[in-house]
Amino acid sequence: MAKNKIEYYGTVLIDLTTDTATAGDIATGKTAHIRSGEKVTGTLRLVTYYTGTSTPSSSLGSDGDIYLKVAS
Amino acid sequence: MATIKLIPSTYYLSNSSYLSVSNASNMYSDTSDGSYGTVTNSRASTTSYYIYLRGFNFDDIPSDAEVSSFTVKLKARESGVSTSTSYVPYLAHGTTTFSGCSTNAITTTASVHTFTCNQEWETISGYGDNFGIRINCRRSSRNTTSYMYIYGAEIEVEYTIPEPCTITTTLSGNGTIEPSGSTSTYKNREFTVTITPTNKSDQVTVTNNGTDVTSQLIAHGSDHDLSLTAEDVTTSGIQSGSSYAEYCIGHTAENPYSSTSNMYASDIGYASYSFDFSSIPSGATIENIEVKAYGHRESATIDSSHVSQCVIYNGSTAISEEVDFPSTSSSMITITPTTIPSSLSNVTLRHIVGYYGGLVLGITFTVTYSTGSGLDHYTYTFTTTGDATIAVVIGGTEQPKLYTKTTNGWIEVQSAYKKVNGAWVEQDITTLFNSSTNYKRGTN
Repeated sequence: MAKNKIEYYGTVLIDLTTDTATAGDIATGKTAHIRSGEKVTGTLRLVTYYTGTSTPSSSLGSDGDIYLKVAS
Repeated sequence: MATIKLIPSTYYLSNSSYLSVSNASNMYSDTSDGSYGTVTNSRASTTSYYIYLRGFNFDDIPSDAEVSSFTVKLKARESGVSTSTSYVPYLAHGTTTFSGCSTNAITTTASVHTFTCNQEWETISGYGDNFGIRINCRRSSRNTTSYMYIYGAEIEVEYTIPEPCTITTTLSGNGTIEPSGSTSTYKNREFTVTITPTNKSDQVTVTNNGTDVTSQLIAHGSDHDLSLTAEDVTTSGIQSGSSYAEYCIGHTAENPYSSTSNMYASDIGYASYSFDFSSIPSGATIENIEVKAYGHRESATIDSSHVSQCVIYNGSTAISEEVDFPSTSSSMITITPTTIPSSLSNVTLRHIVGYYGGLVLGITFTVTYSTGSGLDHYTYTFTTTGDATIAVVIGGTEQPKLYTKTTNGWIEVQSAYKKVNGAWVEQDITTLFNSSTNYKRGTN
């Protein structure tokens, strides 16, 4: 069973009960422990955007990424 | 392409007691004829005395001419004059020669000598009647009277007259454009229209002879550049009567005062130049400072006792490196601060000079400052091909725009792409981003 707070002779050693991060706040594939003490794997999707003065190279980025073309 | 020969119309002798000229009018021709003027050195000494050929009429070249090349030639022969390479003819401004601008030694045979010249045409022509050819009439032997026979000299200039055209700019809506109305210029020149909407969020559209060029507009943030010349000068430790510092007041580094004089100090002194920064709004953030100074040094040596250098000061604290004028010939140096002060009220440019002297002839003090975020104005720049009408419309139905902040400030996005199945596909900027997705900036 997951633990989210540990006391030792009245001294709080660790307390996750007020943490607010959820799996959706953590980058996809990264792991962390949330307020329940449960270990979760992040699901947050970050879209990368690039900026340049010419059309984007086909080798740049991955599906879903964004490219903003500005004047040179 | 046109060619013109500028010929001398006057001369100057470094010593009129020992040098004399006969048939001077024969010198006022190009290098093609066989008549000459004679310069006689009557002093029984191997001392350098010079004749300067001057008065090349630069005004004979049309003011709108674009000079592509120029060549300076001298036709002369000598009798009893030293032909050592140390005493060859030089190009000069006033009595100061241009380093490297010389020709081979004059001989006993009349011949045309072509000068090497590392100077820009603008520099040469800018000296006007102060520009000349210096010819050394030094005796090869103290007991032999020497003669320099000068047949003529010329500056052969090749130039073109650009084709004129007129650019007319019109404005509809609330704001300003610069320039406004008709502007005379030439073909193949860069032309920029600056558009400043009263309401910064108003749409701006521009056509060039009816063709929509709105996509070529460049949006500018609220950074401003201010270029100033020196307003005043105070000196410390400068030798009495050495008031040359005031020469550069009001002169830019690009259009400096013309002088060959020098300011001297008994030990180390300085001239402190101040500027009028009052047009910078209070609360503005000083983003950058760059100072250009045009000047020279008296001694070619650069060390702690041969000083002619510029430093930016904030009050009594130096805020830049010391930048030396590199040469006895005037040249441009650039000074930038190592720290940018929050206020310019006590900022000055100090020209530090030593016993051997030097002088600043022009200063351009450029300040870049910011007055807040957001767009301020647009520019449209194009190359002229002929008469054109640039119609600017401010206002109307506003189209959504997307901006991204770069090192150059906020820049309008011209087009946007999304990668789909490995290929970049252009997108509508209004649906490109959404609030449920998280974004991070990538490095190309």
